[in-house]
Amino acid sequence: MENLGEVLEVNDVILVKIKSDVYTKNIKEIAKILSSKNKLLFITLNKSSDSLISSFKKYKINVGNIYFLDAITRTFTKPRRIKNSTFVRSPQALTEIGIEFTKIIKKFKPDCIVFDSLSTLIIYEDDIRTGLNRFITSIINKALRNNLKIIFFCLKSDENSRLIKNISIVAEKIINI
Amino acid sequence: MKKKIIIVDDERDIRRTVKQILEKENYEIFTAVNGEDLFKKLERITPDLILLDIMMPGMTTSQIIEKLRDNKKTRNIRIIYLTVVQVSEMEKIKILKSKNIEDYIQKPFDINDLKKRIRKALR
Repeated sequence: MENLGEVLEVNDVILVKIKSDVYTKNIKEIAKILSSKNKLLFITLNKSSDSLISSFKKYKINVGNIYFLDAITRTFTKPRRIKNSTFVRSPQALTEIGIEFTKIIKKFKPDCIVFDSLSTLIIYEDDIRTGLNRFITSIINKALRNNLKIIFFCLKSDENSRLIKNISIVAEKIINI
Repeated sequence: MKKKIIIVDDERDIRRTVKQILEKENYEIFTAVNGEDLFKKLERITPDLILLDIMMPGMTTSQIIEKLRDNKKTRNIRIIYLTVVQVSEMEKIKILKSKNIEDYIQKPFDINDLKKRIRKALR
C-alpha cells in the first residue's frame, strides 16, 4: 500500500478500492494509520460501531480518536449508548446522515473522514438513486469547506458500477489494494 | 411433512446457493428478494423458519420484525439472521434474546455450520 500519510498530505478526496478477501484487514490498517495522528470520523454503513470498537481495540487502534456515524445498527436493533457514536435510521436515510455529519464535524472536529462503504450504498441504489449523487457531492463539499480529507472505501469488484465510476471522476487519488 | 423455509435476500446468488443447499437437506424452500416480497409470499405460505438478510433495500429489518410480530399468523415464525453485517458479541447476545430470533449467522458462512444451525433452530 502507498504511504497513506503522504497521499493525505496532497489529496483531499481519496477513493480506495479493496479486494474482498483483504477488505477487513485493510480497513483496520488504514484506520490505525489515520487515528494514530488524526481525529477520524468513521461513517459505517455495514458494520455496527460496537463491533468496530471491539475489533479496533483488539487491533490496538486508538478508538479515542474516532467518532462513529453508524447507519446500520438501528436497522436491526436498538443500539446501546456508546460514547463517540451517533446512530441514524438506515443507510438509505441520506438526509439524516447528512445532518448528523454536519453536527459531528462541528462538535468533534475531525481531521479526516472515512466512508465505509460506497459498495453498501450500491445495494440501496434503486431506492435512493435521485438523492445519491446529491448526497455524495454534499458530503464532499462539506468536507472540503471544513478542510477535511475524505476517504471512500469500496470493493474492487464494484469498480464498474455507476456510483464508483462517478466517485472516480471526482477523487483526486485512487488507491487499489 | 417437509419443514418450510423462506430465504429473504436481495442477492440472487445467495438465494440460489442457500436454496440448493437446503433443498438437499429435504426442506421446502421459498425465496423473497426483500421485505415487501416476503410479506406477499407470507399471504400464501406459513414457513417454519425465515432466513433474513439485514442489508436490503426497502423495509429495514426492524420494520420486518415489527410487522411479523404484529400479525397473529406470523408472530411465532422463527427467524435466523443470515447477513454480512458485522456485529459485536454483546449485540449478538442482545439480538438472540429477542423473541423468535434463533441465530445470527454471518456471511460468508460454512455450509455445514449453516445446516447444523438451521437444524437446531427447527427442533
